[in-house]
Amino acid sequence: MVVLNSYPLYLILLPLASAFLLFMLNSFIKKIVPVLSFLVLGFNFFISIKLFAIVQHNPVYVKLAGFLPPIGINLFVSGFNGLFVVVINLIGVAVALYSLYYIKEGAKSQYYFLLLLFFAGINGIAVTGDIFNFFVFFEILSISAYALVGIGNKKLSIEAGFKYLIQGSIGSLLLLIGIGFLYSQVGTLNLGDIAVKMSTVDVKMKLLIGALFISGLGIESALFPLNFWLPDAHSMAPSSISAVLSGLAINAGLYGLLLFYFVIMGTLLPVLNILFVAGIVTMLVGEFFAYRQNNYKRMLAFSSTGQMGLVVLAFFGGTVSLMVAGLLQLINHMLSKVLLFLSGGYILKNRDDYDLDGLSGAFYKFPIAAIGIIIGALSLMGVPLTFGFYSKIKILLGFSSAGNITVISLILIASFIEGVYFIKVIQKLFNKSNDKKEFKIPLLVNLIFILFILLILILGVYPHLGNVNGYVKNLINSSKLMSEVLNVVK
Amino acid sequence: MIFYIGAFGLVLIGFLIMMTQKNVFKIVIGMSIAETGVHLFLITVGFIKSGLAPIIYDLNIDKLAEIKFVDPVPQALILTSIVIGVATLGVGLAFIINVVKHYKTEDINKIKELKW
Repeated sequence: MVVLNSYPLYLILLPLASAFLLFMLNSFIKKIVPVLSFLVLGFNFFISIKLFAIVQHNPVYVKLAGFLPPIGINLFVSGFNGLFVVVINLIGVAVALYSLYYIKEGAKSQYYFLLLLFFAGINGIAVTGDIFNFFVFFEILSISAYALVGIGNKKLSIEAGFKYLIQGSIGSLLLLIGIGFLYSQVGTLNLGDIAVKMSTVDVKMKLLIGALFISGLGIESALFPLNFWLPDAHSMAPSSISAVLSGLAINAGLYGLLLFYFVIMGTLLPVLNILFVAGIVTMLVGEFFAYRQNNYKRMLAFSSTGQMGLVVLAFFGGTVSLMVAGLLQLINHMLSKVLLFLSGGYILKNRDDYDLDGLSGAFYKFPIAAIGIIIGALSLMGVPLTFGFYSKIKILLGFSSAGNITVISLILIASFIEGVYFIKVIQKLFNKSNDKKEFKIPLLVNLIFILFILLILILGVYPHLGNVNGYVKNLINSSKLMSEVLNVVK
Repeated sequence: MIFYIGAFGLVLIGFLIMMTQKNVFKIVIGMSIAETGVHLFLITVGFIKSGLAPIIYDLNIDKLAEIKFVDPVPQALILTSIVIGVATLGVGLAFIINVVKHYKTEDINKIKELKW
């Protein structure tokens, strides 16, 4: 049973409208634009929790402008996107609060405009039930992300942003061609309707569409070899934006891949295999390059690639328990990486090079931020008592029940490399340094770190995110669920 | 068929320009050309030979069901897509201004201070 509800609409409209409104009124209310942006994203978080409570029982849909599906655009939220939306908006609130203290100079009003636009885009991606609408929100997200990378207007950040723009736009073009082919075959854009009509499409055509979608979305979700933009863009953006890009933007690409695979493709084996292999290679390459870095943010960026590979590997591993593990690992990566970027970024905020040496002695100067780095790193490594342990052990158990020893050993090798470079970071924190303590971390920023630390630790001891199995089943059955929208209307 | 060839020709020309040219302006222009090709492709998907514009001005025409109409959906899609393309082009050109300001060159091979 699908119910009608307009909460998903607010999630998109609120940041979108306030982005333009605040930008227009900027000259009158310059002082309070940051606070207002924070309030908007906070309210969004509140709505997303209410929405999440509703989708526990029934998927929710919205019909826009009175058009009945499959004509017109509709929004669709099941348990799976509900969880995704909650994590997105949690990170949104944290980043907006952090920006109040972190972004002190430069293009402030533009920064908040783009940040709100970014969250309108990613919320739209998470709730939409229409393939072209997905593309539009994807572009809103990408364009604001390009501009946010270059917003510091430093030499390197401009270069990183330009490269991101070129590669990202190639990805969007491929995605659009894929949508064109899809439309030529099924004659509809509604995802539920596509899922129904896709069974009549020729397998060769399916593979062509699959190739276009994977290469288009693969660029955004940083699958090897399409991830050349990622380390530059993630390391050269302001730290709050690095957190958003690493924690959210690449996951939006992954979400698109999942949607595409389970709804449009209706599980096709060659596509599964391609993504599985891409996951393995991405994981190994990402971790290996992360090990070689001396730059804190660059290391984290490569580690994001590696983690993304692991998540893709688990999601396309083929069994339900592996997909549950993949979902948990995805959320673990979002929380830990945001914590790592935010805490490390604040410690290094006066340094342009983000070199690892800047972290020496940080434990004595900024204890809470340093504990944030330690907990985030431990959780990504998969040390017991953190959330990462639970998700990683589930992945390993999933592969061992599938009898896939090769993949287990590759994951363990990647975890080992990960352990080595994160221990290097943690060691730096306890080094002695002669730097004087030039600034203090404000209380509210510390509160963000404490919130994320507690989240990771609590989820590590008590790993219950609601009915996770149910959400994954929602995803697997999403073609059936989405096509229910068509029946409700009749 | 000729339209499909034209559309993918444009896409290929665009991607080729992006890959072979060194000048940042030409790369962004290549992007724009490829985009035009994609738009032509989307239009072609909905096009029917000797089809009419999808506007029903009189519901009482004889044999309404037999008249061939062109699919209006792709046309609506490319309108959106053109706007997105202009936005991307704008951001790209803004980046170029700053790239040239910082690096004093338009050669993409000289703009590589970032390495893996």
